Amino acid sequence: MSTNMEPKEDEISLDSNIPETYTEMSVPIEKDNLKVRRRNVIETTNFASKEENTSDSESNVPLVKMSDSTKAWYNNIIPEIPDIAEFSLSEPLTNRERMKISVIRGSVVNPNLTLGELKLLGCSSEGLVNDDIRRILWPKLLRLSEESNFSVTGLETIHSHIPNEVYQQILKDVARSGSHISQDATQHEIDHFQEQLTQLMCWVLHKHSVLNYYQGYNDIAATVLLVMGLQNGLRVLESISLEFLERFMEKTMEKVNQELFYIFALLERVHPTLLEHLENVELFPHFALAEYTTWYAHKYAENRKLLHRLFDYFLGSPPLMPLYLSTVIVAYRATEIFNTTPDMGHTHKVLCTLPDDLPFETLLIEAKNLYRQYPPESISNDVTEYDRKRKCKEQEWKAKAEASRQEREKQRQLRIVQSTPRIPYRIRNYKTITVVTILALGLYAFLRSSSGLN
Amino acid sequence: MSNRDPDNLISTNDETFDYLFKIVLIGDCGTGKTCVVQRFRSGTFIERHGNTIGVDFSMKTVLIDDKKVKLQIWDTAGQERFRTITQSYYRSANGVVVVYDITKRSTFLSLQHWVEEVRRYTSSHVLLILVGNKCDLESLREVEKGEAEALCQYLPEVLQVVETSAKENTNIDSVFFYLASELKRRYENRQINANGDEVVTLGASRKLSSCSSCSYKIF
Ligand SMILES: Nc1nc2c(ncn2[C@@H]2O[C@H](COP(=O)(O)OP(=O)(O)OP(=O)(O)O)[C@@H](O)[C@H]2O)c(=O)[nH]1
Ligand SMILES: [Mg+2]
Repeated sequence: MSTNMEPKEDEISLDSNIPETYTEMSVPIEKDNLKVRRRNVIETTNFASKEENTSDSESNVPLVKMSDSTKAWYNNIIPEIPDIAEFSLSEPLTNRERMKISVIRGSVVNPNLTLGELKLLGCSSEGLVNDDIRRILWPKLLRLSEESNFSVTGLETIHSHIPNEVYQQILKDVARSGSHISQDATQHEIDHFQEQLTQLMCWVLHKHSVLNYYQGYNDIAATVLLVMGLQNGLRVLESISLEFLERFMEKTMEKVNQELFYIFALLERVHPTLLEHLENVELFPHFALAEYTTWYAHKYAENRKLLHRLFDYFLGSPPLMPLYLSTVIVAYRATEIFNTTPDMGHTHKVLCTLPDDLPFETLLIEAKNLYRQYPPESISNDVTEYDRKRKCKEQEWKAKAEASRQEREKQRQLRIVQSTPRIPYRIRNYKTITVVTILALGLYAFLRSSSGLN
Repeated sequence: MSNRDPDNLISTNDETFDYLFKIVLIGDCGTGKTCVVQRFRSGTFIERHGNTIGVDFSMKTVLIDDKKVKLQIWDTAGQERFRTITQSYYRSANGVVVVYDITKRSTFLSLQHWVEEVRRYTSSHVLLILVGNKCDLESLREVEKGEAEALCQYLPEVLQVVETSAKENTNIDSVFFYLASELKRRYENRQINANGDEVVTLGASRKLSSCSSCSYKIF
C-alpha cells in the first residue's frame, strides 16, 4: 500500500515546481478529486478497496484520507528526531514533556509504526511537545513524501497569479496578523514575516484555484509558517487546506454555517439544559466560527505553545473534530454561562472569549471520546434539522422586514395623499359614524329585548 | 482576546439602565469598524488586533439627559463570504453604523449595497449613520465629504454622515452619542404617541436572575 502511494507523491512535488503551467490543467481534475475526498472523509474504513479503483485522474491528489493501519513511513525511511540537547527551547522542559519526547523517540524508530499510531502521538498528552519535532512529524502526519530538495522559486511574484481582489484581501489580513509574532519583533522581522505569509498563502491559492480564501486562513497559515518555515510550509499548508480546510473554502460559508450546528446537536446529548439555555437567549453557534475555521489560531495567536499543541491534535483527527472540542469546552463552562447575563449578546461574548486556563489536555480526551460516542454520521440528521429551522427563521425575518418596509412605504404615500384632499380622514370619520350607529342600534335592541323579558 | 471579561458577569456588572439599544456596524473589510468600536468602548487604538471573523459583541452605557442608555454593539466581519452569518444580526437592530474608508473609493461605492442589506433584514424603524473613517489620512483621501452627503439625498433612512478617525479619536464618541440620543428621543416621542412600535426594550423592569422567563425561542 505504501509503495503504491509513492509515485503519486513524487508526481505532486514535481508539479509544484512549475506552478505557472499547473492551474489551467488542474482545475477540472481538482473538482473531481474534491468529491472523492469528501466521500472518503465519511467512509475511511473501507478506503483500501477504493484506493485500488482510483483512476489516473486522481493521481494528482496530494492527500487522500488514509487508513490508520497504513505504515507511517514509506520507503522505510525513518525520520530522525534530534536530541533534546539540540532543541531550541524557549523554556525548560517539564518532566511530562521529557517523558513524552522519549515516547515519541521510541515509537518513531519502529519501522512498522502505523499512521494511526503516529496520529496518536500527536493527539495524546503534550502532543509533539516541541517545534523541532513538529517540523519533522507534521509532514508525516500529512503523508508528505521525503523530498529534501523540494523548493519553489518565483514566490516573490506568485501573487500576480491570483485574482487581485483576493490578493488585496490577503494583504489587509496579513497586515493584521501581528499577534502571531513576538511583541518586540523589529520592523524588519515583521516585514519579512508578512512577506512570507503572503507568499505562502498565494502559492496554495494559486495552485488550487478551487480554494477560496477566507478570513482566518491567514491565522492557520501564520501558524504553519512559524513552525515549518516558508519552503517546508508550502506543502504542509497545501495538504492542510485540501484535507481539512476545503470545507471553509467553498464559494460561500453556507456549509460552515450548517456544520456549526453540530455543537447544538452534541449539546442536546451531553448537556440538554445548557442547550435549552442557549436557545432561550436566541444564540446561534456562531461564537465557535473562529475556533472551527482557524483551529484556535485566531484566539490563541499569542499562546504559541498551546496553539501548536492543538495543531498536533487536529492534524491527527478528522476534520469535524474542532466542533467536538468546542462542544466540550462549552459544556465545561456551563456554570459560567448560566451566570452570565442571559441575553444573546453577553452569552455570545462569553463564549467567544476563551479563558487561558482551560484544562486542554483533559478536554481533548473528552472531545475524542465524544467523537467516538456520537460520530458525525450518527447526528447529521439533527444538524440538518437545526439548520433547516435556522433557514426558516431567516426567511421569516426577511418576510417581516419586507412587510414592514411596504407598510412604511404605504404610510409615506398616505401622508402625501393626506396633505391634499384628506380622503383617508373622511373615510375614518365615516367609519366612526357607522360603528357608533351600529353600536347604538345594538344597545337599543338589547335594552328593548331585556325590558321585554321583564 | 483571551481574558475573561468581568463586564460579562452579572455579579460585577451594574445592570441598571433606562434604555437599551442595539447597534450594528457594517461596511467593507478593513474600513476600521473594529477600531471604531474599540476606541469608543475603551478609548484605545490597537494596531495589533486581528480581522473580525463572524461577529463580535460589546457594550457600553452612556449618559444622556441623566438617563442611562445602554448600547449593545455588534461588530460584523466585512468579507462578503461572512454575509450569510452576519445577516442574522441585523435583525432587531435599532441603529446601524455603515462604515467606509475615506481613503478607499471602493468602500464608498459599496455603501448602496450595504444600505440595501439593511433594508432587506431589518423590520423596525432603524436609524442609519454613515461613517467615513480614517479622516486622519487627509493626504490619501479619495472620497470628499460632499459626495457622501449627496449620496444621502437618495437614502432617506440615513440620518447623517460623520467623518471619523479611530486613530486620532475624532468624532468617535459623537457618532454613538448622536445615535443614542436620537434613538432615545424617537422612543420617547413614540411613547407619547402611544404608537407601539416596540423598537426599544425598557430596562428598568428587566429580571436578570433567570432565563426561564424568556418567552422567545429560536427553535
Ligand atoms: N489611519 C487610520 N487607520 C485606521 C483607522 N481605523 C482603522 N485603521 C486601520 O485600518 C485597518 C483595519 O481596521 P479594522 O478595524 O480591523 O477594520 P474592520 O472594518 O473591522 O475590518 P473587518 O473586521 O475585516 O471587516 C487596521 O489596520 C487599522 O489599523 C483610522 O481611523 N485611521
Ligand atoms: Mg473588524
